Amino acid sequence: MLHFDAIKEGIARLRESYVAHLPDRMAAIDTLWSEIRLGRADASAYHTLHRFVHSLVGSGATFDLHRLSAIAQTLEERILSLLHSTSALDYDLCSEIEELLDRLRRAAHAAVLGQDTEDILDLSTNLPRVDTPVVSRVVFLLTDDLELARDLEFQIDQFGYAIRTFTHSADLQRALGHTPPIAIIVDGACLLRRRAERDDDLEQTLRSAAIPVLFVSAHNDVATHLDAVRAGSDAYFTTPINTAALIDALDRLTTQRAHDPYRILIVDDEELLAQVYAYALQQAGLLAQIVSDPDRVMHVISEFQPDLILMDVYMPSCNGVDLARVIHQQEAYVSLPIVFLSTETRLERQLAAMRLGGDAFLIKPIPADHLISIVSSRVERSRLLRSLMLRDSLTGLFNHTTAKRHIDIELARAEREGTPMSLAFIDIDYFKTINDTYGHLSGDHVIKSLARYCNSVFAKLTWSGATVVKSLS
Amino acid sequence: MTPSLQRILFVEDDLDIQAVARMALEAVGGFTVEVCDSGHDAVGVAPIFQPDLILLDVMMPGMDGPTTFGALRAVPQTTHTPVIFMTAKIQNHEVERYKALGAVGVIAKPFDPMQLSAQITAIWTSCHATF
Repeated sequence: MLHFDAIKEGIARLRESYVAHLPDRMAAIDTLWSEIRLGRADASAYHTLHRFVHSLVGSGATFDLHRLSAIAQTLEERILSLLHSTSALDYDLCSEIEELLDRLRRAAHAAVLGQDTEDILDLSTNLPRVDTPVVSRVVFLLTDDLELARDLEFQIDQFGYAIRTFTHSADLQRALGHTPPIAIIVDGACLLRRRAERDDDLEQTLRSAAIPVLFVSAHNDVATHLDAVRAGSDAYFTTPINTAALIDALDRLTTQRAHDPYRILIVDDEELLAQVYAYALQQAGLLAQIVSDPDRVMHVISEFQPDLILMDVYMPSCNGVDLARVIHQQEAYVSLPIVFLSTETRLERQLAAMRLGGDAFLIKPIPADHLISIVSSRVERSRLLRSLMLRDSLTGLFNHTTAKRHIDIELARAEREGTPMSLAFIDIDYFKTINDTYGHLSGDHVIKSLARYCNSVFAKLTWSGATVVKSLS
Repeated sequence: MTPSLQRILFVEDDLDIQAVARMALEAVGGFTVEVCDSGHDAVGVAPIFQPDLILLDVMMPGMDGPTTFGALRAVPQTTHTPVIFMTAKIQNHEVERYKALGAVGVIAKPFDPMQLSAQITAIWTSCHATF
């Protein structure tokens, strides 16, 4: 008699060892591909790469890893086209191959985790799609450190970002014109090499691109930091990279620009001058409102919810510095930045005003561009600080107190405008099981992914102020 | 009268598929199996092993399946040995091409390890029935 169970068990063991070696195979494929990309490979490398990938097509399917096999098959076809193409390295073909490699890597990883399925955290396949076009969250990565690339790709991928790795800055620069990413991560070592070659093309591109740039570097000294800032970096990370911090920075830098315009309240009894400022700010895309009667300030603040107040120091009925203290004594407005506007040129008087609650002191008259840049930079910082304070550090959603305040604001708005308002509580079923089975780190990923998904789906529906209340039992 | 099928030479470059197929053919089918990594090896091993049937992967580096097939035909001991091709690309025109070469059958990859022996036996039986 045949012992079918024993045979099945034997095959299962073969499969296990096959799966366990998948990462090595992927690494070998990645190494070959990077050699090819770097132009260091001869024709035999193409053939070897083809053979490796072809082998995954067959063996993957043999072991029931159908997704892996299917991706490898498409990849195999592309590699064959590359092999037969006459031009050296077809750019589109290369990026297609890189994308397939990326998917293959994920499939291999899923297989190692025991699922030959799409990313477990890809909730989009299970939830109904809202007809909002999904914004592509592609991040470019410039590095020739393949280990770093692999690490980042894998980790960032789980948070809804797709990494596209470039080993050549010229390729990256070309791709920027094609399909701009939402952010660029640059390996400091690449930049230094460019600089050593007296090639500042890359730096200029990064500086002029209206895209957030993040630096990763093995060095943590001020000089390197400064170099990065000069090259236009918005954030800086030293290796080994703290992924959570990197994701947060990506979230922060990439969602910022989608935010509402900055809201500026101008408190000045000289209406004409206030209007000049308001006009200048509006031209720069900011929202400005004027209060010329200090008595109405508190009311307007609660209605307009400004990000920053531009306050005239000398007003006939009251002193701007005192008014600022009044505002800051209200708990809700403790962190509201107030910038004083005055003709006061004496430094000690300025300092006294600052001590009493001003964030900056501007001398009238002030050039419009100067005003805009000071106001904008303060709002940017303040929004960032506020979001760090008010949002749950894990999910990026509003924390309990803030969520409650937002609900109150929304309720008041709905009542005033007579519009319907809904509030949804989302409870994740069996969440404890996820934590117990996969550990808290995975649990955090689940919460974070769900939060991200909610934000991306609901952002357009509740344009008047999305509030996602998180409740976990 | 169909001669009994006992010795199978399996030519396949992929070590994982080799392992699965060996298990499938030896444990499930009860065959005596010799595995070669390449067409080159197969040409050397075939006269010594004297297989009843040769199972040949189509896509291999160096000598591919059809080339190996031709080389085996040139070896006196395997001039008439039935050959089955194994391939992932199981399109009709390709199957026809392999049959035209002289193969007795084509088995699709991936194969079901529990069914592989039965598939081979079926091809073996039918190819002898036509004689």
